[in-house]
Order: sequence, then structure tokens, then C-alpha cells
Amino acid sequence: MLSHEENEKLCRVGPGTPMGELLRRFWIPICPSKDLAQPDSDPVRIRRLGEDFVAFRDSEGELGVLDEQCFHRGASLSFGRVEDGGIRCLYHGWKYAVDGTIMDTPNMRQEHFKKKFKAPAYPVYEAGGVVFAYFGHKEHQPPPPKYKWMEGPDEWRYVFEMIQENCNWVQAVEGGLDSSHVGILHGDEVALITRGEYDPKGIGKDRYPSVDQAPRLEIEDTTFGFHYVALREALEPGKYYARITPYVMPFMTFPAFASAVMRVPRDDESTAVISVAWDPDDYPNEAAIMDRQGMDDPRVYGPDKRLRILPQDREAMRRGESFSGIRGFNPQDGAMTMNMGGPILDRTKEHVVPSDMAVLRMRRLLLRCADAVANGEAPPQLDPAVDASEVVGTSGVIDVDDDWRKLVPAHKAL
Amino acid sequence: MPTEVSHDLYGELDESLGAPLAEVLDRTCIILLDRGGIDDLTYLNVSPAVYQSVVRSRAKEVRRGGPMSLLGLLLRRDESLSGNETSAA
Repeated sequence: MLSHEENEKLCRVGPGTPMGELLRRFWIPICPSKDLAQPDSDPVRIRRLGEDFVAFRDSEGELGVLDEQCFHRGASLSFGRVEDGGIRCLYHGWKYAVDGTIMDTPNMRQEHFKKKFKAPAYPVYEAGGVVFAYFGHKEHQPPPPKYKWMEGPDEWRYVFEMIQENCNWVQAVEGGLDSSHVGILHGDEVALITRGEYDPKGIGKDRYPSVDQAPRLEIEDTTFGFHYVALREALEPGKYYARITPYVMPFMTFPAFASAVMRVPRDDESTAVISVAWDPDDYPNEAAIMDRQGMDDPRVYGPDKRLRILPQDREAMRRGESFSGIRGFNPQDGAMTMNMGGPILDRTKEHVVPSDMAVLRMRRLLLRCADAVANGEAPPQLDPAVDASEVVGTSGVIDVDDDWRKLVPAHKAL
Repeated sequence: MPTEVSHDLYGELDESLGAPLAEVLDRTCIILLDRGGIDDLTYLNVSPAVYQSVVRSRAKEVRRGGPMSLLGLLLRRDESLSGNETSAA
């Protein structure tokens, strides 16, 4: 639980809020690269941290992120024409380059105006099939992010974005740090994984060799945030099934193996979830991923990227064929985190227990870092010496006396 | 002697007290896990400041007379604890 004041500080991300100021120190994932696939492709409306932006790729392939509202009279540039090296507002034809340079003002001929002013534009970085932008103060801008999943050609990855409405970002991230729900909410999938029938080369690679529902948990602070392990009695006597989940401040979790999930606040009440499946040995298959997630159904996930939860299959639940009556990890998680009594979970009412350890650590870390930034300090995770490029989520069967950290040798403990 | 929370005590709380619950829960949770869990425990004794923060946040639950808990243990105010201290028993 948290006090009301702590919960407000943790969850609200608008300009000037403590958490908003912390998050603006980091590069923010704004969309998959494929949304802006070609030079002069359609502009994309972006909502992040309670503010609205437009992203576009100019004729030379350069990416730009500007305030959504036109510098002139505030029309939405998301309706604009991307052409001849810039984006042109439909309303009065003002045109902007990726760096905010005003290229054209058809209703005002004075040339000096264009030289004197610039539309607000934000630094952009693209890697691993994801576009990032930096919305903080220029003097605090960190080096671009570098993660394992950014390596290699695009064929190694599948990236998709999903929007969870009525869901504050914190409860979404908490779901990614909550081992004890996996064997329950996702019990249908775990049963398939155990039988080798679910993504046997991906998330089901280890076949989840345990039936232990009460794992022993250990947590360790790291340079990038923290990682924790769920140690379950393995099917093989005398062994532990160790499943390690890293949390890279402030958005990213690594569910297992070659995947990463970034749960980014669009505003206080909705979250953009950008997932990356990455595997150089067995290229991710888009159709198979969406099928497994139950997201190949347009009633669940369509072009607007909104996740919608279908009515549960209560008959299948009664027949013992499904625990949740919901198909797929993402819809199952969404059904929980998008229905927590309002868009922002009231944490004064919850009753956490020791198995919620990683959730508690994340909250403490975020609140401490928000306080640090408010006191003029930098978030320690952005120290230039911190290297998160080898961080992975993984699992393995180890001897009960073994140190689980040997499975993640690149993770630097504090 | 630690005192269990009751709705009668709510009106006697010292409004000047308070504790950062995110810090308290994170620290206490690790202590509980390090000692092997809470199976053999019943109570979590907490300092007056922690007690105040929990009860203030749970005003509605306290008014209903519900048993107050933290991390799966029944909550007791312990005057011998100070600051943000907690102690399982």
C-alpha cells in the first residue's frame, strides 16, 4: 500500500509533477519504426506524459518530433502533408523541418520571421525498430539508450505497440514485475508451455519445469534498476527453477529470454505498451505472436492499437478448459490492469504481501529517484558509466546451492 | 505492550506523525523474506509514525472496524519503536 500522497506522486506524469520530471530525464519510446516506415510517410500523432506530439519522417528519411499543435494557430499537424523536406500544416500552410525550422509561412511574407523563430522540436533516436524522443531539458539529455534487443538486422525483431486505456502506467509496469501471477492468471499458457506446445523456441523455451506456485523470491539492486529471481522447486529433485526478471528504469521489463516490454505513460490514465520480440537464432514470427496473444482478432486489437477485452468464455471455464476464459498473455494482463477501480489504482486500499516484493521495490525506487530529481540530483541509472546493453531476462535450472546470478553475469549489482 | 488498531483509536491519532510507506514496506518485506516468510508470524509491530500513516490511509477500513494488516500480518502500534521501525512477532 501507499499513502494517497505517495500514490499521486508515483502515478502522475504531467509537466511539473515530480514523476513527470523524473521520466523526462529519460529517452521515451514513442512508436515502432514501422509506423514511420518510409520517407514522407504519413505523420503519426503521439501522446506521451500527458502531452501531444507529431512524429514524421522527412524526404531524406530523417525523423522529427514536434509539438502536435502548429506554431501558428494551433491546428493539429497530424493532419499535415509530409513533403519536400518537412511537414506542412493543412490550415494555413506553415511548414516545418524535423528540427523545427520554419520553412514556409504562405500567409506571411516577412523572411526574418522564419529565421527568428523555431517550432518546438525534440531530439529523436531510432534503434532496434523503436523510435525514442527526449522531452527533457537540453542540459540533462543522456546518451541514447542501448539494449541487447537493438542489435542485428530488423529481421531479428518483431515490435508492436498496444494501448491500454483506463490504465495508469505504474499498474501496467507492476504487472511485469509480478511473478506470482504468472502460473495463475496465465495458467492456460503455462500448461501449454510445460507440454512444449507454446512457442517452444521462444517464451516456452524452458518448458517451465516446475509446479511450485509459491516461489522463493530474492531481489538485488543493480546499476540499471534491479533484478529479482523467483526460485521454484524444479521438477528435477534437488534443483531450483530460477526465473530472473530485470527492471530497467523507468519503463522496461524483460519477461524472459529474448523479449523486452516498455510500458510508457501516454498520460495519467492510459499506457502505451511497446513490446519487442528478439531472437537471432529463430526470427520472431508476427502472425504466430499475434495468434498466441489472442491479438489476431480485430475485436481485440486493431489499427487503432487499443487493446479490447472480449467477454470471457465462461463455458470454457466451467468445462475446465480455461482458467481465465481469456485468450493470450496481453488480454489477460489487460483485463486485470485496465479494470482496477479506475484508471489509477488506489493503493491505499490494496493489501500487498511479501510475494509482491518486486512491485514494492519498483515503487520505492521510482519515488526515491523522483525526490532526487526534485532536489537537483540526476537519476543514478543515467550515470554514463551504467551499461544496460547486456541486460536480459532469463531462466534456468540450477542446483539449490548455486547462485542464480551466474545466469546473468552482465548485470552489475550495486 | 503493542496495541492492535481499532476504530476507537482513530480519533486519538497524532496528525503530526507520518512515515513514507513505500520505504517502510520495501524494507520490511525484505526482512520478512530473509527470515523465510511469514508462515510462523501473526503480528507486525510498527512505530507510532508508521501506524499513523497506515491508519490515515485506511480510514474507511478502520471505521468499519476491519482488522488492519500490512504485508499479510496484523498491525500493532508499538510505542517502543521509533521513526519508521517495524518488528514482526
